[in-house]
Amino acid sequence: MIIKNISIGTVIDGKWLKHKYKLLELLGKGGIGRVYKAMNLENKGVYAVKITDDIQSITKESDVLKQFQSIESFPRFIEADDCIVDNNKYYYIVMEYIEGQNLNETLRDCGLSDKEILGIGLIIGRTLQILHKEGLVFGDLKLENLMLDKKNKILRIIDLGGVTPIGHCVNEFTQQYDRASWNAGIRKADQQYDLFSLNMLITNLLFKNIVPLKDYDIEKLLNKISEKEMPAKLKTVITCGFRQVILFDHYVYQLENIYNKYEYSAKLYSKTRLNTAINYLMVGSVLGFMALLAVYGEKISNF
Amino acid sequence: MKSIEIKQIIVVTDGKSNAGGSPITAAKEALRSNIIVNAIGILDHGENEEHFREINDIANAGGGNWEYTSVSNLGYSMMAVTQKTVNNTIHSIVGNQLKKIIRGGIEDISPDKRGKIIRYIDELGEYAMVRCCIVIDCSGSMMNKMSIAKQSILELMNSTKGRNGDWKVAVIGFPGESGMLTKVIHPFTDDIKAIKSRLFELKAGGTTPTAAAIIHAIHLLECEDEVEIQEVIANTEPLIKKHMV
Repeated sequence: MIIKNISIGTVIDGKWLKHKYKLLELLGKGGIGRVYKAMNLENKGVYAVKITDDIQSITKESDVLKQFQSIESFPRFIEADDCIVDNNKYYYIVMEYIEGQNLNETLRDCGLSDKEILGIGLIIGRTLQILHKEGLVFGDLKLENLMLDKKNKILRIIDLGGVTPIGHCVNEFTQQYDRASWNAGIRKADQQYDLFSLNMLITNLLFKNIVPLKDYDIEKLLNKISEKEMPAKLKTVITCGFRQVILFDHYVYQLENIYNKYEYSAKLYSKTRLNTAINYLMVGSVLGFMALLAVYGEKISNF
Repeated sequence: MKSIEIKQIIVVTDGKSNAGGSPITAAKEALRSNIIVNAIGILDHGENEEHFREINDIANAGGGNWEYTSVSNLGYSMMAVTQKTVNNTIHSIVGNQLKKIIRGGIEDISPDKRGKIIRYIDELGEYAMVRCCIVIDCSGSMMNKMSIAKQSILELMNSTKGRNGDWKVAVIGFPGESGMLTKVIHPFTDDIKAIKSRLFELKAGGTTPTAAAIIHAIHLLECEDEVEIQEVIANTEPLIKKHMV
């Protein structure tokens, strides 16, 4: 990906829809392109613009985003267009701008309780189930692709560039979450591919430093898991997740059981944590309601 | 699903060629035979622009992509560059056929309508038959980078296991042994174990005869043709039908 002469202050002029966006701030860069915070010069609205010279990737991403607009955790899609900057052709999509931190930053700043981590895992798991039903795999799951939306108070999954049809080769991946890098399967898209990466995400969040990143040795990782102190059910689920001997749907079901029974760890418990947990787990659906029930149910039973 | 055949050479080097002719001419030669030449330059410390001008020139002459990469990122670069070549090749074939139907390219279809063609291109890429010859610099300066370079080749092969199409990789080292300019480390194969054992024996030392290596790769790729019968896309039914647009 070669992007020349695009930077803060550049104004991109849409070829098809004729809207103008001024790039305000670089939000991120990845294999496919760059994401900028940008302002629409006509309505003065602030949006996120993902721009690239790779027409193939951005078109696929844009179509997936449009197809799954009913999933609240995905960004709202505004429009897709092309532009020319300094005689070079670029292609871009405009999405809602999400105010908040990605999970990496959240971990660094205030941390997450075990229950919040399981809740996040559950929300992602349910979202991935929807993708799987439509014959797609998320692919590139990682902390950087997850944000806590301050304004709407929900978890957001922000980068759909890795979404791949089941049966195809996974082209966008991050080593730590990619089972092929661990010699635990091939880099082909299937439900178990997502299972491995979701499991890795949850394990990494729950037990910092347990993941042996120097040599990507799956047996070493599994040994550390078996030695680590944790509820038996959780241990079984995590182990099955890495070995991919459990169906994705069943994994999510087990995760939910564990989540419902999980106590807050005493040292992490605090009022703000409780509020944060409730807020971030509200997805305006049965899941949110269940989360509330679990939280308040426990609080009441503590009296 | 129609199978498109893509032949590519990936030149992996950490410096300028200094023996055996012009690699740029060799790359032009490759393109004339429908072989794309990509080039990856391994950055160490203290290299300057001049050092890698040649990388750009080789890739441009060979119709391929170029990248500068650090040693640790070599595996990713190799995969990225091979994938890009597959995409670009299919794009230009499809683009040419599109011109006949709509008198334009994919960018002339509006963003909300191009999904169908893009997904079709994706399928073609997924089922493409790819012959990838990695031409790896084994000169003296590569001594500290050899093990990562070997690992990256294995990474590339690992990646291709997930693909539906028929991918085979060959490896040529330059310079060769006993005064030879090149050495075939392994001919075309999809057997990662076979390549692994041969790669083990690779040692660094000597000059950098890049051009000779590219020429050798061209021969290897052309020999593949004698073993399997290929359909020449230009002479058969077009990939793009009117209803797709």
